[in-house]
Parts: sequence; C-alpha cells; structure tokens
Amino acid sequence: MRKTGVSFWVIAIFIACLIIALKSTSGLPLETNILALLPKPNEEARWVQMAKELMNEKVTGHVLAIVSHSDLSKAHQAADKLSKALKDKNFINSSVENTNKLSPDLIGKILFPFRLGLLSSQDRALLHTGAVDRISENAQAQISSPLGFVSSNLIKNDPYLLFPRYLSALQDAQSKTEMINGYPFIKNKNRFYLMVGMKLEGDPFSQSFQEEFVPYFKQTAAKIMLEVSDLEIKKTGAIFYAEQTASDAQGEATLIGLISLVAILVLTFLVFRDMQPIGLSLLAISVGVLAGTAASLIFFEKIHLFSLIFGAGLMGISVDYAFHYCCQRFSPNHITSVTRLKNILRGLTLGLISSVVGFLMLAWAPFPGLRQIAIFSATGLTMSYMTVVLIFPLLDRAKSLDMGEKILMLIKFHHDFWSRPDLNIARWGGGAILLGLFIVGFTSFKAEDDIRKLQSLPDNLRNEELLIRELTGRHDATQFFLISGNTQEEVLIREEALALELERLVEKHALSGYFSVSSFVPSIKRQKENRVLARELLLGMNLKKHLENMGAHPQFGYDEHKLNYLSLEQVRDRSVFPFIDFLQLARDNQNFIHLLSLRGVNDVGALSSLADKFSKVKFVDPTQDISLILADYRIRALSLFSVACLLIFGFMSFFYGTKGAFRVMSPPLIAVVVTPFVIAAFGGIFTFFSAMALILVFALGMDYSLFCAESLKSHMNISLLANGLSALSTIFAFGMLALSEMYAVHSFGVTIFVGIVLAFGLAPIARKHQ
Amino acid sequence: MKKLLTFAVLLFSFESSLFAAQNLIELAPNEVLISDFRQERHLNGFKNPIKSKGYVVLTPKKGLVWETKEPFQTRLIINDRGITQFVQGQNTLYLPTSKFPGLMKLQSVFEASLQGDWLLLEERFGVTPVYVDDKWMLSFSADNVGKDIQFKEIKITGARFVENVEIRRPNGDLDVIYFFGHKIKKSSSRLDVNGAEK
Repeated sequence: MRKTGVSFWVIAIFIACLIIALKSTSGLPLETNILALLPKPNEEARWVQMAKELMNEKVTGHVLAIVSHSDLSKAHQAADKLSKALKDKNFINSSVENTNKLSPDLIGKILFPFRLGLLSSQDRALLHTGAVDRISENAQAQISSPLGFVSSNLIKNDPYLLFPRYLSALQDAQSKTEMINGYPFIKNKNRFYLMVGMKLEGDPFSQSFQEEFVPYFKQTAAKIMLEVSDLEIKKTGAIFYAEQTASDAQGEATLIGLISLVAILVLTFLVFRDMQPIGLSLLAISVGVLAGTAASLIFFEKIHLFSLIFGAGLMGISVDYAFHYCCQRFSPNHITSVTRLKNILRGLTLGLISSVVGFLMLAWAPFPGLRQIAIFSATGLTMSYMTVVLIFPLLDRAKSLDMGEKILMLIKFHHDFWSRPDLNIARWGGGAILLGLFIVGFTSFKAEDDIRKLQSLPDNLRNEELLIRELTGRHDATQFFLISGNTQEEVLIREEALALELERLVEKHALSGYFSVSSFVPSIKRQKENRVLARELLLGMNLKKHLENMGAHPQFGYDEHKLNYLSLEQVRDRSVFPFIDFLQLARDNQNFIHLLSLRGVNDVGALSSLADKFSKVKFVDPTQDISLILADYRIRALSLFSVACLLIFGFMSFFYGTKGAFRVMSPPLIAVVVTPFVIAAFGGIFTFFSAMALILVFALGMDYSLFCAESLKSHMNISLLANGLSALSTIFAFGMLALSEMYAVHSFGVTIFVGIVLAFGLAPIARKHQ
Repeated sequence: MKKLLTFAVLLFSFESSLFAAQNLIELAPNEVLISDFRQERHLNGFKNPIKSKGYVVLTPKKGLVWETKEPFQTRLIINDRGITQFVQGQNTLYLPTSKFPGLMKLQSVFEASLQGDWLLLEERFGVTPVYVDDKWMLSFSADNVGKDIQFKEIKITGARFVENVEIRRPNGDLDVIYFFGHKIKKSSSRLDVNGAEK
C-alpha cells in the first residue's frame, strides 16, 4: 500500500515537472495584469469583451517615443536612427503610424465628387431648420473674406462651399502638431518634439519579448542621447509598464520568499538543532509549490502573480504539516517514525480536508483569479500532505529530543494563558481590548475597490507618460463607446444616432468632444438624406437665386445626377483617413464593431445612461467596471467562504458533534470576523484582497485549532510548539507583504499578519473544555 | 576701379540697411498695428468684383486678425497654428499649418510687409523692395514663397505703410486689397490674436 502511494507520489512529481518544463519554454508564463483576475463576461456582452481585447491589442501593441532637440534636423536624425535600430532587430514593423501620406489637395480631389452627400453637421442642422439663406450668406461671406482662400474654380462646382466646410469640420482644432518626413512634431519653448510611433512585432506581455526589447530600447536611446548633446528621448507604452511591474513584483516576491525561507530555516534549526527538519520542510514546500504551479498551468495559460503570492501562503500550511511531524521528536517516549505520523495523522487529515473543501468551494466562483488560487492551493496542499504521510517516515531517522527550557517557557505562557484559572482577569482584559478594537474598527470600517488605488504604476514611467500627454495635448478620456452591428452600414447608422445625442451632451458640457468613423464617412443612408436635403432646399430656384445674389455665372452648380456615395472601403483603399482604422475594431462577415472615443468627459453618468437608449451600443469605463467587479466579487468570495464554512462545520460535526465543531471552528472564525475591524481601527481599508487573505487565515487557523483539539494532554506542548513555528513562519513571510508598494498586496499582507496572530493566539480555545 | 566698386557695394548695402531700419515700424510688446482695408475680388465667372471692407490687426510675432464688416461680418485669424475663419460667429474654415505648411510663409510675408521688415523678407524669401519716388514695391512669386499656396504672384506696394496688395492666381482670379488709416494702438483682448479666437 505504502509502495503504491510512493510510486504515485513519484509519478505525480514527474508529471508536474514535465508540465512546467513544457509550458515554460520561453520563461514562466506569468500574468501581472490585475484585469486577468476578473471573470469573463456573460453571453450577451461577448462582443464587448472581444472589442475590448481587440482594442487592448491595438493600444498595448504600440510604443511612442518622443525625440526632442532645439535643432529640428538633429531631432529628425535621432528619430530615424532609433526607429532604424529597432527595425533592424525586428522589434518593430513600422515607425510611422497614423500619418496621412496623401496631400490635402489629393484628399480633396478624392472626396470632392461625393460633396452633396458629405455635409458638415452645421450645414445639415441649418438645412433641417430650412435656413437656406444662412448657408447662402455663409458662402458669400467666405468668398468675400480677405486673402481669398476660395477660388472661382471651387465656387464653379460648389457655389454653397459645402465641401470646404465639411473638410474644415474634420480638422482637429486642438491639434498642435506639424509634420516632418512622416513624423508628427510639436514646437514648444524653442524645442522640437518628434513623435515616433512604433508597432511592436512581439507580444508586449511576453516576458521573453520584454526582456529583449526593453533593455535594447533603453540602451539604443541612451547611446543616441550620448552622441547628440541636449537630445532627449522619452517613451511610453504598455510594454514598459508591464516589464517594470513584472520586474518589481518579481523582485519583491523574491525578497519576501527569501526572507520567509531564511526565517523558517533559522527557526527550524533553533528548535531542532538539526538539519533534517529543514530538509523535510523544504521538501514539503517544494512539492506543494511544484504541484500547485503544474495544476494551474494545466487549467490556465498563465499563472497570475497574485496566485503565486497567495500560493506562497501554502508554504505556511505545508510547513505547518512538516512542523507537526518533526515536533513529534519531542514526544515523552522514544517512538518510531511511523508512530510519529500516526500521532498527527488525524489532525493532519482533518486539516487537509477542511482546507481543500474551502478551496474547492472557491473554485466554483466564475472568477479566473479565484479558480486559479483554489486549484493551486488544493493541489499543492494535497501533494504536501502526501509528502508528509508517504515520504517523511521513509526519510526520518532522527532520535527523540528534549524540549529546551526556553522553548518550554514560551509555550507554557501560551498554554497557561488559556488554562490557568488565576489568569481569568488577563483573559477578560484581552477580550475587552479585542472588543474595543472591534467597536472602534466597526465605526470606521471602509471597503475600497478603486483599481487605481489598488494597483500602483511605476512613478518614473507615469511621469514620462504625463509629460508626453502634456506635450502632445492628448487628453483622451479612458471611457469610450463601442458600437456593433451585422453590417458596416448598420454600425454607421447607429453611430450617427449616438452622435446626435452626444452633440447635445457637448452643449451641456458633459464632454468636450468625440471622434467617430461616421464623422469622416457618413452612412449611405445619411449621404442619401443629405443629397435629398440639398436637392430640395439648395438646388433649383434657390441655387439660381444664390448665384444671382453673388453675380456668378448661372451655369455654376452641382453634378447632382451622379449618384455616387462614399464608402469606407474607398476611403480605406486609398488611405484617405488612415487614423480611422484605429476606430474600426472588427470588420468581418456580420461582425462589425466601431469605437467612438471621447474627450474631456465631465459627466460619466450622462454618457453611461445614454448607452442604455441604444441596442448594441455599450459605454465602457474600464476603471469603473473593474472597480465594480472587484466590489461584486469581494462580496461573492465572502459569500462562498461562508458557504464553505457551513460545509466544513457539517464535516467537523461528524467527528466532534455540533458543540465540538463549534468549539474547534470558533478560533479561526473569530480571527476572520475580528481581523478586518482591528485593521480598520488603525485606519486600514478592506479590499477584495483582504477578503482573499481572510480565507487563508481561516485555512491556517483551522489547522492550529485542529492540532490543539486533536493533541493528547501529554502532547499539548508539542502541538503548541508546532503551531507557534507555523504561525511565526507565516507572519514572517506575510508581514513582509505588508511592505509592498502595491496596495492590493499590502492589504493582503496586513490581513494575514493580524489574522494569523489572532488565530494562533485563540487556537487553544479549541480544546479548552475537552 | 575695383576699390570704387567695393565702396559702391558697401555704400549700397549701408543705404539699404539704413532704409530698412527707417521703414521698420517699431511696435512695443503691448502694441498692435491697425489698418482699415477695402478688398475687391475679381473672380472668373462673376459679373462684378466681390467687394468687402473692414480692418486688419497685426500683433507682431503672434499673427493677424482680419475683421470684415461689410458685406458680412467675418473674422479671419492667421497665426502659427493655421488659419481660422468665423462667419457671423460660426467657425467655417480651419486650415492647420501642419497640413498646409505654406500658410506659415504667407503669414510671414504679410506680417513682415505690414511692419516694413525688409531684412526679414530678404533673408527668408530673397525678396527686396523696388523704390519709385517715395514708394516701394515688393513682388513675390510662387518660387519665392512655395507652391503649396495657389497663387501666381503677390505684389505689395506702400510708402510708410502698406497701401496695396494684389494677389494673382494661376486661373486668372485677382484679389486687390487697399489699406488706409493705419494707426498704432495698445493691445486689448478684442484685438489680440489669441483673444479673437475665443
């Protein structure tokens, strides 16, 4: 039986190693984006999710460099050098994006034949109110204006000057950019800032691509800056954020892991004065983390950083198992390794089952992050347990030990606190302090789910991005609309209806402007309407009158019988407006999605409710959406946890009876309930990540309670020692997480710290009346 | 003879510089040059010239504001961002310099001509004034200014101030602008280029 178990254990380890090796050919697939923790949307919002992913791909796949110098030609040469160096290495496939290669004259010539269908929104509004005279006057005023930008050639074919007004309405009056050899540039305080837009050839979130691209970019930029004095190169792009966040997070995780490991090693050595328990602990930990990683990689493409950090909590539980086994060396009688295992097997098994039941309950949540953590933890813990049960007795050759005086004194204090009748006042005093903190915390309790506060961006990159935004004057809102339809025409029509409402909101200052495909190329329906409006109101007698007023030749006019309509395909094929490609997220058969970008949003509520008026139109506010989802899932995770507690209670009742189960579960439950309020009493905020930490507190606290409950009276000191070692190692590891720069990780660490102190301190309650 | 020739060239250069300095209309940082104008546009296919009148404000290094009062109220602003036209308060035309780089040159031509900055005109466009009695004349061709603005010739004449501008286009259209009543005034938000845009 044992042989079969060991064989199974060896095969499982081998398979885990194989899976990790296969999946990590280009580095461990680590996910650092906090958004990846979020659930997939429901059925009807699938197109929205697809559009978001497409947009994300477009945005994250680009980087922007700003090359600046007081001499335009030097800045230009440096920009060329930078993009050539990156192109030569195949890091980018083009250095110039969204620039119009056609001259304004040529664009005019391409679009001019469609002018009767292409009315500016101002002219269209005037025609709708029948203000033909205003259009006529506007044209005459433009013609009589100084410097005569309107020639007789134009007037001959467009006497109302509808076309120049359409073109003019498309110009971005806020843009400060000029062009030099395909590079947009801005002049600011005697310096020229050239924008070098680059499309990446690799995946910006691939660790291997980041490790190649980012250092090369930085080295090349530094070299160019050294060659030309006074030259500056600034950069922005998702890849720079992803690389630095991953590197900071890995650095932080490595440091925390190292301190945790050293603390465990020192503690173990101090208590056992022998290296074998260290070896056994490391074995249990390694097998747990290995199995957890492999299981996560089977079910998920990438391992989220948060799963790894949470998974590191496994170390606390698996070390817990190893400590309980090794502490059996302090048994009063000399016992064999098999007896050592037998003494703790029931507590160990109950602890594992309660933890796995809890984690599997979490796996039910439609939340990739929770599922990954649940699978990581349940698999890792099971393998750690198997290591203790199957492997430890085979390796353990140690003799029994005497517990030293100092250790015994420490344990005695904890034991006596809960057992000595004369310490009643101290216990009541401790309880009163805890209650006081609970009440203070209850009155100041605050939950926070704002993603901007939970995920901090590197300051240096943020400053560079702000500087670039400042220079380019790009204050695009993070919110946008998505419009979908089965045909291109359907999307354009929907977009035009939305734009009409947006114009009203612009007047009310809910936003300062928007950018849409249909403002450049109207739907065929809109073009037909424009033609009808023009024919009914501007042509015929009205045109005759207009020409007479101006004293122009009566033959001047429009080729109204040519029924040509401008299509998006024509515009795309000739690259008339290359930048609108960015707004067309999908254009497959029966799947067309457009993005409508917004500027200067002041009233999110008005825009959000606007989307409700239209079908297949979605207002997207990524920050707000994530924050709402985090809040929702904080509540869901706690609800699932409550259900898991009920299940564990039922399971414990089977072994201890209702009262006994209540007693065994009360220490971890008190710790879980009280911890958030104790933290709140000191000004801490409760987040989704605090909720996740509470689940780990419960799992570890259950172990402490179970080992106290299961321990023979003669072995109580041994159980308390093992619990103490486990709690200390967990506190060392997670106490460090509280120092993390990322608030999400910080709140996780603080919750673990307070929760574990409470769960460990209260654990002896589990056996008090036994 | 060679020495005499060198002396003559030097004297001419000196005289030219002196003249340039004399013709330059010095404006303090808070001053603007205002001039009334009358324009006639002779367009192909039109029976009569299109006439208009108003005033123009020059704010050195900032740009020009052309305010037309008759037959329609229009405002044309030329600055380093481009050309913006408002007809009866409504924005009807915007030509950014990023798309029409020649506009910057046109702005320089008018700014320098109105201010009598011959040195700048010579330096940038290789154009020098021709003098007849107490009057001067500047002539710009597409070769001087650039071909991205559609004109064949710009002829500017004046004495102390610019008096007349003729813009001739390749299709035969001709614009004639007469300037008069020049005065230097303190700048105000109404007259300032940036203020006019608001």
